[in-house]
This record gives sequence, C-alpha cells and structure tokens, in this order.
Amino acid sequence: MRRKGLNGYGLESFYDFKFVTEDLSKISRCKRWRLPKWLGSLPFLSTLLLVIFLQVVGEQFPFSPFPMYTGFGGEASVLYATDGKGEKLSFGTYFRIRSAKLSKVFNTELKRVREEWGVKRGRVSEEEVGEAGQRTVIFLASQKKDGAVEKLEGHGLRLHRITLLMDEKGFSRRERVIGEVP
Amino acid sequence: MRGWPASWRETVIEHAGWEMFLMRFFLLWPIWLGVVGSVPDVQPYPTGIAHFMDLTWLGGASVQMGVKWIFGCCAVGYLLGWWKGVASGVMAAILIGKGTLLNSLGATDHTGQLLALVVLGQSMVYGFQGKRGWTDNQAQVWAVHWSKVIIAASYVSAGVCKLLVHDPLWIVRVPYMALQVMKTNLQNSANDGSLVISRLAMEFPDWVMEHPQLARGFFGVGLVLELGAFLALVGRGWALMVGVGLLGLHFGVEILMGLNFRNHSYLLVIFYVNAPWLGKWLGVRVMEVWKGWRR
Repeated sequence: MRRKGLNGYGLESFYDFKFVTEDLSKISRCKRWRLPKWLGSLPFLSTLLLVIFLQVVGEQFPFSPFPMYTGFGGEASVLYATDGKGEKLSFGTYFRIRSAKLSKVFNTELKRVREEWGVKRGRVSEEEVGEAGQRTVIFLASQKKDGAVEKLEGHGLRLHRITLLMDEKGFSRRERVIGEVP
Repeated sequence: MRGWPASWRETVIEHAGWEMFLMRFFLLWPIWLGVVGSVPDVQPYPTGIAHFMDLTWLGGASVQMGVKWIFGCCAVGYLLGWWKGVASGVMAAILIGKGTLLNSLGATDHTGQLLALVVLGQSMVYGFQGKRGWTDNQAQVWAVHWSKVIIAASYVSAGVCKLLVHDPLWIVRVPYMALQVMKTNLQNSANDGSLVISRLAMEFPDWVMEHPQLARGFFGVGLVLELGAFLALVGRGWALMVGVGLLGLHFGVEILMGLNFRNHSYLLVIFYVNAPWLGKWLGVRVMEVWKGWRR
C-alpha cells in the first residue's frame, strides 16, 4: 500500500491557506490577510471547514447540512390520496410526486399558513391543518401524470392525513380528510 | 510523536491511473441516473440558484433530450481525460439545475446533493489545475481526494445536525425512531395505494418499546459511524472500514424503512470501498496463498 504524506501533491500549500487568501484578496481587492498558522496544522481541517460551511449555508441545493432524522418526536404524519368515493389512489401510478415528498410540501404549506396568519408558537390548530391541506391537495392535483389526467377527471381528489402518536402506553393513530378538490 | 494518534491525519492517496479511470467510469452511472430523472416544470418554493433564475425550462421534453446528448459528450470527455474541467463542470451544472428544480417544490429531497457536490468539487479541482500547476495525474489525485473529503463532510454534518444543531439528547429520543419506521413504511405503501405495511415494520416498533436501551445502542452505532466518517481520509484501510460501515448503515435503513440512499451507496463503493482496488488487493493475496500452498 503506497501512501503519500502531507507533503505530497502540494497539500502543504493548501494547508497554509496561502493560495486561498491570495485569491480572496484579488477577488475582494482588500488588503491581503492571513489566517493564523496554527489553523493550518489542525487535522482534518478541510472536512471541518466543509462541515461548518454546510451548516451555515443550510438547505440551498446542492448544499445541505443533511439533517436526516434529526427533529423527530412522539408524533408523525402520513398523507395518502383517494378519489371522491374513497378509493385509494397510488401515488406511483397517478402522480409525479410521492407520499414522503408530499408530506414535506404539506409541512412547508403549514409553516407558510402560520406565518401568514401571524401564529408564532403553540400547537398547530385544526384550521391551520385544514388550510395547509387544501393548498396541498390543489398542488397534488397539478402533479397528475399525463396518462392519469383523463382517468381522474370528474372523480374528485381527497387528501387524507394519518397522525401516528407514541407515548409510554404505546401507539395510537387518528385520521382525517385535510383537503378535497372536485 | 509518531504514535498512532499522530498518524491519524488526512492523507492524499496516490491512486493508480487505472483506479482513477475506473472511479470516473463508475461515477458516470449515478450521474446518468440523475440526468435522465424527470423534473417538474414549476418552482413554487425556490432553493439555491432558483432564487435568482427561472429553471422551469429544464422540465421541457426537448430540453431533457438535449441534456442527455450534452451529458453523452461530457461523459466521453470526462472518462478519457479530454477537457475534464469543462466536462465535469457541465455535468455538475446539469445535476445542480435538475436537483434545484426538484427541491423547489417545497420539499427537500436529499437524494442528489452529495452527488452534485462531488461532481462540483471535481470540476473545481480541474478548474484550478492550471493555476496550481498540477500535472494531469496530480489533478486526478486531488479530484479523488476532494470527493472523499466532501463525502466525509456530508456524513459528519449529518451527525453534527443530530447532536449539536437540533438536540444534544438525540440519543435519548431514539425510541421515537419507531414512529419514523412506521411512518416511512406507511408512506411507501401509500405510494402503491395499499396502505399495508410489512410484518417487520409492524414488529420493530414494538421491539423498540420493549427494549429502548437496545434501540439506543442500535441507532447510536449509526451516529458514531456518521461522526467518524472523516477517518476515511486517513488511508485506504480506514476508507474501506468506514465505507463498509456506512454501507451497512444504509442497508439497515433500507431494510427497516424502505428508504434507499442509492447515490450515497454508489459514492461509498466508488471512493471509500474502492471496489476495483479491493478486488485487485484480494486477488493478489489469494494468489500469494495459492502459490504458498502449492509449494
């Protein structure tokens, strides 16, 4: 196994940040500045800087802090669709969006509704869920696959929300229609 | 100090030319999957560059066909080493454009970010090649190294999010993960319109309720793997161990939740496990044992 040390491939010139600071100075036309030398000797500095960068920039594609499964608690919700008669509709067959992604759209709409209604904190009300659900079902209706538009025409579209709850006693679930279009 | 902690430093691996060629070759597959994937023609909640420009034209059928042809030309150039900076830059632009549009629906999908970042990182390395005076081989080595750094940073960032950004007591809340298992399985079943979940998905939450400490240990291993992903930069052996560990994590998540991290797995196999090198290494060892046995 051949390993190239830190002095191989010009890595040392990266670690003293010389070229980065020089390039930044040229771009910004500011007086040249240097980062402290000890910073260059930190192990895994490139990873550390990238992690900080990703955390600061946030969700701006292609950058992301990758916050998968961070903010979960004792409640979760799932969305599914039916036609006006209650017949379940497969997202894969009829829509260009899947259930997981639609849930995120719903959450974004819910956040927007609360902002528009001036609600800053506290539990989410049924009215807020209903308004966000109605906006989400309108969005879902716009995401029908080309072949599904005729099949679904005139049958209506309902969006259902299953809320799963977990506490020390166990699991429970409740369900309601949160949006409907004719 | 030359002990083992001191040797835990970022190391640039001098990969052979054939290894780096195969890495580029295998990387083209997930890029192709990203290029052919359908995109919406609306961007109601812009993200990234969609804040500054309208990308909905990318959703047009004729544009999608053109993008495939452009990708084909770039793939040949990238693979054979002709204009790698331009070729990888154009491929990064395609992935970023389509990914941005997909993520501008109001829902963040973490399928394409890492791949787009890796290709973007490579294009930046090749872009810097002339300025830094690297030879073609050195630029390739750097491109591979930065790909590894970006992959490591993404996993460490995921771990940092769990612990530092959202909740230092993440591990205490882990039993609630049972609810996430139920949720993702229900979502998958909603996609096929059945709303029927697997036996494993029904039994696992009960197991978590009965054994919360074991569940914390189970998911805690995943957190340690994420936070320790930077060790893959120490050397080939570490990269292999970290790669296999993270692939195991994705495999476990897929079995439990039905969520596949396809792009992440491809990148781990290409850059960390480095399957072609591993195959050669194992082949050489097997031949040595074979020769010794014959004597």
